[in-house]
Amino acid sequence: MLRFIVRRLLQLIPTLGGLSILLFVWLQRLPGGPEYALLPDDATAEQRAELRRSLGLDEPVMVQYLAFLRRIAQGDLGTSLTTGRAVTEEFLTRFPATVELSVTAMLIAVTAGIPLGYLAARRRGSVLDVAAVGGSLLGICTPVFFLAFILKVVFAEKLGILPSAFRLSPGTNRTDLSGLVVLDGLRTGEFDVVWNALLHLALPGVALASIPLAVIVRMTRASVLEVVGEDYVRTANAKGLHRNTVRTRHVMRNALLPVVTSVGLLTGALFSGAVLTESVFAFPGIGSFIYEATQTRDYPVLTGFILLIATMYVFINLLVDISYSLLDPRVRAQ
Amino acid sequence: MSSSTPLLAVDELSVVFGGHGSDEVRAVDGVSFTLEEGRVTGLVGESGCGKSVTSLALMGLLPDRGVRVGGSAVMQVPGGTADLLKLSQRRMRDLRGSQMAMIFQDPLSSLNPVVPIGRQVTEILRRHRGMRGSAAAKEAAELLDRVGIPDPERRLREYPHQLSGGMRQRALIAMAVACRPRVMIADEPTTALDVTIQAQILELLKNLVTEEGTALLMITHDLGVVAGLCDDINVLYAGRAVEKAPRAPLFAQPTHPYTVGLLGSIPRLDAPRGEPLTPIRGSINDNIAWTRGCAFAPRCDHYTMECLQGPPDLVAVGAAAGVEGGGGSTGAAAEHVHRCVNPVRGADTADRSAPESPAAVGEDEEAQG
Ligand SMILES: Nc1ncnc2c1ncn2[C@@H]1O[C@H](COP(=O)(O)OP(=O)(O)OP(=O)(O)O)[C@@H](O)[C@H]1O
Ligand code: SF4
Ligand SMILES: [Mg+2]
Repeated sequence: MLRFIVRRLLQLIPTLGGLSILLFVWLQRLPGGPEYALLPDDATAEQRAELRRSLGLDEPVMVQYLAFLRRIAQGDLGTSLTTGRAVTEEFLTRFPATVELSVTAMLIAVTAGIPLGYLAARRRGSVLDVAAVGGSLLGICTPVFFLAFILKVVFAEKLGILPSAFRLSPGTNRTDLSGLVVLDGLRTGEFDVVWNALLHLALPGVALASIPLAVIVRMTRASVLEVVGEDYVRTANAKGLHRNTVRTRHVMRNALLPVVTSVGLLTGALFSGAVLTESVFAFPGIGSFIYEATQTRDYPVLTGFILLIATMYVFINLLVDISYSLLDPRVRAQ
Repeated sequence: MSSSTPLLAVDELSVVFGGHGSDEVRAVDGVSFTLEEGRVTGLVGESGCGKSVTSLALMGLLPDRGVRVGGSAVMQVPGGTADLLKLSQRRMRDLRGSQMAMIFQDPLSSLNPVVPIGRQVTEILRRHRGMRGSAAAKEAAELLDRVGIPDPERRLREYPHQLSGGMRQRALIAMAVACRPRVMIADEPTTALDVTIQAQILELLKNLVTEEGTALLMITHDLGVVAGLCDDINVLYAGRAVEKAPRAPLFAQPTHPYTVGLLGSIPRLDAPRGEPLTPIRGSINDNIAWTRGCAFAPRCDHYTMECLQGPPDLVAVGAAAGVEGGGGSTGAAAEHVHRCVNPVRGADTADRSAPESPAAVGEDEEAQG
């Protein structure tokens, strides 16, 4: 197991190396640059060139990349061109918001998706099944951005029942422990803050949950359909076990294995969805910051954030694989 | 023993899949047999003849929808008798595992891959005998020991993929006998196993039947497997019994051409090396509907026009076989019955037992071509 973990972590090196090269090339190709976003419109060409020089952007790409690698080796991801603060610092202050949003979305997707997928499979061909399959197809096809926008217009602007922006209502006082508003509120007993935060999480959470939810419904459904036909389920019934024992221990324990793997892979979709969802709902996480950084060509923030996200992604999938191996003894043996 | 009331009396069992007219499949079509204490009843026939469907119908394990089950299966249960085909799902769940148990063909796929063997044994103890914790674990270890699994404590903690094929089947047998069921069904329990392991498993089943007085329904496509095990044998073809008899008369004087064919396709130990087997020509798909005549006719060397005039009846061997209304089984005296208008007589049987004769071999090769 330890060797497995070490091997996976070593794989991070080429992954991040490749990704950083791609990022450098991509940013180089991107039209415009920070000299347009950061300087006023009437700045002279000399002033713009001067800024580029001071940021080292006039150097050849190779030189810039090597300088970047040298800094990384010292644990330095650079400084934001717009805020002037260290990229790592910017990341850490915004990360909890995104964690909270992603976890909310994943919880919605899992708690709704698994029962829905199960019921759709058991009542195959019923109205519920057709609706679940059709709805999930729609969920996969609808751009997250579009869904977020619709939700915001309907529930926040037209009906006015849910807040449309930020993590908390303006002027809310709270004790900050970890940056995770809900968790902090629960620990300090500030339940009004918890409720307030949950209301703010509702719309972006649902928008972000759409793709994982759709995928989990489909995967669970397909997986349950396969497992109920397995010989060991027949054996369990032949033993006269109660319906619920058969359902949980024999059907679901096996049917959920592929779903667990998909949860790991879906965190990728979650991060990319967060960029758009957070910007629609002005949610102060890493997603909306990345969006802004793209607008201002804040190169250090873009490279730093994306590399950090990629690292997170690898770690999450490692965790998922480890938990998978705990669930499936056949994998554990290898 | 046959004079006592049977533990399970199956009468005119029929199972039809799919609902409408010609689409329907009559997988089992009026099969009757009895299971008695301490006796092994064999259900023999080629793939697709309805053996598994028969056993699943008795266990109440057929799909909920798209199946029609007819006939009756009256079983002695605590406090009286019950028709298994009419009981509620709930009552069947109570009986399954405790009064009747089943062993399946493929031991690997029949075990849950992600649940330890121990749990799969104790869950049935808990369900039917209310045993929990260490008492259940102890009993589970004793059960594994009983079916010949060495080092049972360790095996209880292991998962199915860590056991050998034979051991897996033993574990499934341990689960089947865990609550001392009075009726046990084994559906091709040795097909997926090596020949030496096959013999061991059959031996184990035989001992369990003798020691516990269980009634065993043994399902197989291989008459050789049942030769040493079954007391009574039912040969099925296309959903109907075509011959039934106690072991000795069936092997000594098979009368139905299909049974004769099945026996002919058993490898004989005394046959010269390289001697070709004489399988029945054609396949089970080459049949006609029983309603039109003998379903075996397209593959039968004995058929005459008479065979195609409605379904032959199941009659006592030696009695004149009629078609439609010929009288059916003639009571208790008819231990050996068959469903054939031109049964094989002694002379033809001799042909089978002497396949060395060049003429016979030549004939068979022709038939296969
Ligand atoms: N669920 C089902 N729906 C429709 N037809 C079925 C179903 N299950 C079985 N059958 C049909 O019933 C017939 C008998 O099948 P069964 O499984 O009992 O054969 P078998 O004698 O056990 O054969 P094998 O030796 O291959 O196990 C087959 O023709 C099969 O096509
Ligand atoms: S009834 Fe006719 S076709 Fe059928 S087995 Fe007997 S001889 Fe053959
Ligand atoms: Mg079968």
